[in-house]
Amino acid sequence: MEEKELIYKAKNGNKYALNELLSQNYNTLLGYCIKMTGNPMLAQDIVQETMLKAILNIKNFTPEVKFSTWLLKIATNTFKDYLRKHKNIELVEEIFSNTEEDVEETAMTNIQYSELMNILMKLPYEKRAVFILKHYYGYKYQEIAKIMDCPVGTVRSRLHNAIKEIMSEMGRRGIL
Amino acid sequence: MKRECKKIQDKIIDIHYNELSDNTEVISHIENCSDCYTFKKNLKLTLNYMDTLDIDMSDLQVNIAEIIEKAEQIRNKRKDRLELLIFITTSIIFLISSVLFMANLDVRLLLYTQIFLYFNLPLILIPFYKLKTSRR
Repeated sequence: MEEKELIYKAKNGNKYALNELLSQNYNTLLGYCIKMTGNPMLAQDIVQETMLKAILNIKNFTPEVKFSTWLLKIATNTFKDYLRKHKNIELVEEIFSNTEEDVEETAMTNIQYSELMNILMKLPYEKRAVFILKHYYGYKYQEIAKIMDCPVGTVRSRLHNAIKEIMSEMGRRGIL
Repeated sequence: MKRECKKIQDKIIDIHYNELSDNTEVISHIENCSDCYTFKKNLKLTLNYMDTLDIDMSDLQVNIAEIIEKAEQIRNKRKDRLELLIFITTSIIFLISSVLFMANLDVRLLLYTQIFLYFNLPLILIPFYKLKTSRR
């Protein structure tokens, strides 16, 4: 079934269509939340909260934007609210599970992952969101501006600053 | 860093993300500026490193059906609350208008109105309720 058809049915209260729509966009949403929070468990909570809000407000969704874009916008606002309530977020250091054969490789990947996640988490929330949306999801500046509710020029400068900050932090840590 | 270099480096980022197509100015600048050349090289390296964060996390699952159920419950609660509010408001309006009616007009007229309402209101409300429930 096409996305438009699923949205139409979901708006009319079809639970199957709603489930299908959310399942199709689950990985995108989870990936975004993990990168934004640096904590898979917290990301899962944000995903659940986002989905709940999306279901409750599905009738307000207009198909001018993609459904995934709308979900990411809700997730961004949900995380913003979370940050307002909780000042400190615990970064989860180990993310890859390891089997006996590849312990060494997994350990290396974990070190690299946590180092890079640390660098990403050092960025202010707005710059981080812009960088993630651009780099991992390939959104255009205009689309990001819609998600973040800010002018295109701000998106552009936030991205430039974010990348320069990442580069200088990598240089400082001797990664580059 | 020169102001021009800062501008060029911003453009290098835009070109990397296909947000800028005209790269002639950038190319000619890079040929003569080692700082911007290094920046371009480091940018590619940095973004390649950052790709490490893009890992598959599909083992973290949430129960979407459960979330849909929860949303349904919240929606019903909100609806019940609204209906209760409408009921209370209507009752208050009805009581106040009855009191005003009795104070200012003939009590007999009020009684006739009440009798008329008790007999006729179900004829309006029952079909209305049926229509509403069949839509659900």
